[in-house]
Order: sequence, then C-alpha cells, then structure tokens
Amino acid sequence: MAKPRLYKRLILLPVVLLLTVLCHVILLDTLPGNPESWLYASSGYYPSMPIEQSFPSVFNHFWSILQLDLGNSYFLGNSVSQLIYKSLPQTLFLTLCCFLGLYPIAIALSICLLCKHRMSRTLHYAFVVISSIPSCLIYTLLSIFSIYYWFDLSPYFFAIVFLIIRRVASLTSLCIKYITLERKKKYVQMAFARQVPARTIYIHYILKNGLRPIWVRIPKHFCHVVFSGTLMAEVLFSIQGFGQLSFIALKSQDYPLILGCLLTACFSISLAYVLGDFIQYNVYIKKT
Amino acid sequence: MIKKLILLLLLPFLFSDKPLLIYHQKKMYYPCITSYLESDFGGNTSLVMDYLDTESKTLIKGSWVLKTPFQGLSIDLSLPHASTGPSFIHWLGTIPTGQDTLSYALHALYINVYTACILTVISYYMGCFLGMLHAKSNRSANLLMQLYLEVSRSIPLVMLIILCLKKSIVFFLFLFSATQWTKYAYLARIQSIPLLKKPYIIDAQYQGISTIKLLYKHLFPHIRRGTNALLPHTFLNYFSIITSLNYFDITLFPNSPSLGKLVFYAQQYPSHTWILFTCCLIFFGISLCALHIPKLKYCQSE
Repeated sequence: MAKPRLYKRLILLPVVLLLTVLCHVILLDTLPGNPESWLYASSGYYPSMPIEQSFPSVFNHFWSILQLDLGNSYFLGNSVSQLIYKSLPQTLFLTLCCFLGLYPIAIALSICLLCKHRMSRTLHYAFVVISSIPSCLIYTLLSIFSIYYWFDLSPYFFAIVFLIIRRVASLTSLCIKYITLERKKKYVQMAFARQVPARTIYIHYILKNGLRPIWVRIPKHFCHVVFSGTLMAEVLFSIQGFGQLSFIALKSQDYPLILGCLLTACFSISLAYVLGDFIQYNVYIKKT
Repeated sequence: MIKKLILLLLLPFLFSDKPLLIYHQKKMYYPCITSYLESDFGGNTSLVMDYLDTESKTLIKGSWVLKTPFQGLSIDLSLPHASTGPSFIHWLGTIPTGQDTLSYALHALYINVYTACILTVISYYMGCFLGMLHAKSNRSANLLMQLYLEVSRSIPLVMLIILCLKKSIVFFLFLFSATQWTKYAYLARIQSIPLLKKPYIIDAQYQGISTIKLLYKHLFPHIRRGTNALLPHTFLNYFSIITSLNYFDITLFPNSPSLGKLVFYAQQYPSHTWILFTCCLIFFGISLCALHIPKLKYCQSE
C-alpha cells in the first residue's frame, strides 16, 4: 500500500466515525417506526421522564453520543457502556481461542491439500459441507443426540469448536490461493530445482512470504469474528457475551443498547482496517 | 447451478393446493398464476376461491381440472393427530401444524433460495459497479467513495433484517443494495486498477465513450472471473443467515413456510424423526450442491 493512501485513511478515520454515528442514529430513529407505542404495548414500560427526553430527537441523540454518553438500556436497566464492558471479555476469550486453533489448522490443511495428502481432500470437503449448514441445524443435531451429556464439557468448548469448524473451509481456500501464487514465483522454482527439501521450501520460503496477506488480514478478521461471527454461537450455546447482548437488544428493540453495540463494533472494525493497512505498509518480510 | 435454480422455480407448480388448469364453460382458468373469485365460476359471493372448500368444489363440478401432483400447504384434517409419520399420502409425514412436511420444506426452500439469490445478485452488481467506479474516480470522488464504503461496511446484514421486519420487502431491498456491497467492491477495485492502464481501456477513453459504457463493456467482463469466485460463498452465507434468523422467528415473509421453523420443530419434537430427516436431507443436499460448484472444487484444478 502506498504511503499517501495510509495517511489518507488515518485522516479519514474521524470523519468516517462521525458519519457512521450519524448514519446509525438516523437509521435507528427513522426505521422501526414508533418506539414509544411499541414499548407501551409490549412491555408496559413507562418512562419516568417526559417523552421528549426519554426518546430524544436525532440531533439530541447524536450530541449525547459525541459526549460519549450511550444512555441506559430500556430492558436490562444498567448503563449501555457498562453492559458492553461486562460482556466483551467472554467474546474476546472465545474469539482468541478460536483463532489459536483456526489458523494452524487451516494452514496445515492447505499444505496437506497441496501435497495431495490422502485424507486432506475428504476432510476439506467435510469442512465445506459443515460451513454451509446453518448454525441452528448443527445446534439441533448436537442437542437431539445429546452430545453435551456424552462429553460433559463446558459450552465454551462447544462454541469454540463450532466457530473453528465453520471458518476453516474459507480460510483454507484463501491460504491455498496465496501459497499457489507464491509457489509459481521464480525463487521458489529455483529452490525446487536446487533440490532443497520440500519442508524447508514450504516453511522458510512459501509460508514466510506467501502468507503475508493472511497476516495482514488477521486484525480485520478478528474484529469481524468478535462482533458478528460469535453472535449465533453465543445465542445457541447460551454464553453471556457481546453477541448475546446484541441479539437481546435487537430482539427487544432496545434502541440505546442497539446503538451502543453497533457503535462499538463499527469503531473497532474501522480501527482494525486501519491497523491492517498499517501492518501491510510496515511489515516487510525478507525473501530467503 | 442455474439449471437447478430454474428447476426450483417450478416447485410451486408441483406442490400447490390450487389446480394448474381449469376448463370451465368453454373458458380456460389458471389458478396457479392468478387468483379468481367465486363469482368468476358462477358463485354468488365475491370471495377468493378456496379450491379445497366443498362449496367451491361444487362450483367447478363437471369442469376439466388439472391438479398438481402433490398436496400443497393445506392442513390435512382427516389425520388423527396433527403430526403423523410417513405414509403413502404424506411421504415424509406431517409437521405439528398438520401440514405435509415435504411440501412445507420445499416451499420454504423455494423462498429461502430465491431470497438469498436476489440478495447475492444485488450485492454482486452493486459491488462490482461501485468498485469499478471507485477505481476509475479521481481524487475527490475517490475520497467520497472511500467514505461511503467505510460507512456502508459498518451496517451488518443481521441488523438490517431485524430492523426491517415490520416494513416492506422493497424498503429492505433498497437499504440492502445501498449498504451490503463492500465485499465485491474491494475485489472489483483491486482488479480494476491494473486494467485501467491497459491500451484498450485508454483507447476507449480517447474515443469518448461514456463512463458507464466503459465500465460495463470494457472493464466488467475482465474482472468477472475474479469476482465470480466469491458468488457461491456469498449465496451460502446469505442462505445460512436467513435460515438461522427464521429459527429465532425473525422472518422477512411472515406466515410463510421457513426452513428455520422446520429446524425449530425438529428440536421441539425430537421423537418426530421425519422432521429432522427432512431438515438434514435439505441442508446436506444444498451443501453437496455447493461442493459441485466449480469454484469450490479448486483442488481438482490444482
């Protein structure tokens, strides 16, 4: 990435964040219709303050967010920032464990596939099939065949395995693409011609240089998994994380909580993209 | 894949409560395509024809009727219990609401597949077009496009679906096309930048053809190969999201069959194994179809 583009991205970041806040506030204030009547009808919620203050206008909403005041949740009682702060560690733990398993498995599988290992192709096909099955069916199969009781393990374990299995196929495809591109390069061809052992070529030549786009992608991927990937896993396996919190907020139309969750996700994702660009610009790996 | 989708388009004509054709008093009627009133068949009331109702049956008695081969989504009241196992009439049994499982599952599949297809096509074309425009635009326009891209990326699909529940589907599609295009835009932009320096593009620019024509006639055919690789993944992703949301009773089409609801029935009634069997049959079938998409079978091309 060219240096000016990186500077441009950094300068754009505050503008993007402001626009994102405005966009979400407008979307939430205009889309679902009439929040007051819905709240009165569904839960018997009566705001203690006058309506104008309880359901602020777009401008007031925007202004309070700029002052870092995300408000209080309608249904869960606590302040939104506190709820988010409490739920994030579980999700971060889940994602971190998932990543520790996901990347080694995907890279190993892609190398096995390229070496035409006997079982690797079947395994990869199995992963592709599993990744295209909806999460709810996997959960139903797990609960009907009472796999929880067979192994008596914590829901965290199942959630991590679930997250890994659903992401291995796409990451393997990506690794294969980059490894194949690197393998076609002249210095690798030369190493093969010089009869350097295949393992050395793969570890010291190809993985080191070819997987650079994968390393650059890690911050973005991590943020995407934290804020959107874990939602289904947390809801299905009843883990009180960020995904569960956003799901509750969306289901019960808890506007301050929805906005809080969305803004946290957006800020982190935007920062992760800039971090990814920064890594891409600064990390220069020497070819062996 | 396209042939399979066209075959799927014929599903409502195979599983329907309405007859395909009626030849009544020297006139042809097409109930599967249009809805008729009872007064059209000589009845007194202007109610919509219910072809399973005894009164309606007497109205079309003596007419030539071409029925669909399988029963539709009507509730079979002749059964002792709502949910019964497989039989000659109901090949895969019935679900707890008394509807035929096979018809229900295939109608739901039809709805989900086409919704996912429409969403994929919209995001594909919007993404490609905006990505190419982003690559071609000059400095200030480029900056604006970058801003639009960053803001659009921040709105997740799940949120859009849940927020648009009580709104019209057209409104949802409008919002979807305005926001969910970033994945293809990135790809299209990356592939367009080197292509813009090619002589044939420069030549086309000097000939003075419009930007839209340049993008779609000269640039789009060349970037298609790269962007098409993502299509099956996107389709399966949307299909999976829609089904998972249906499971939590969040649907874009209320009161219509949904695969998520079928999975929910399978979980609620584990002894009714035919429901789980149908779910597995459909989802594993779709996954196996996905395996036969050439872009996913890269191992063979290696």
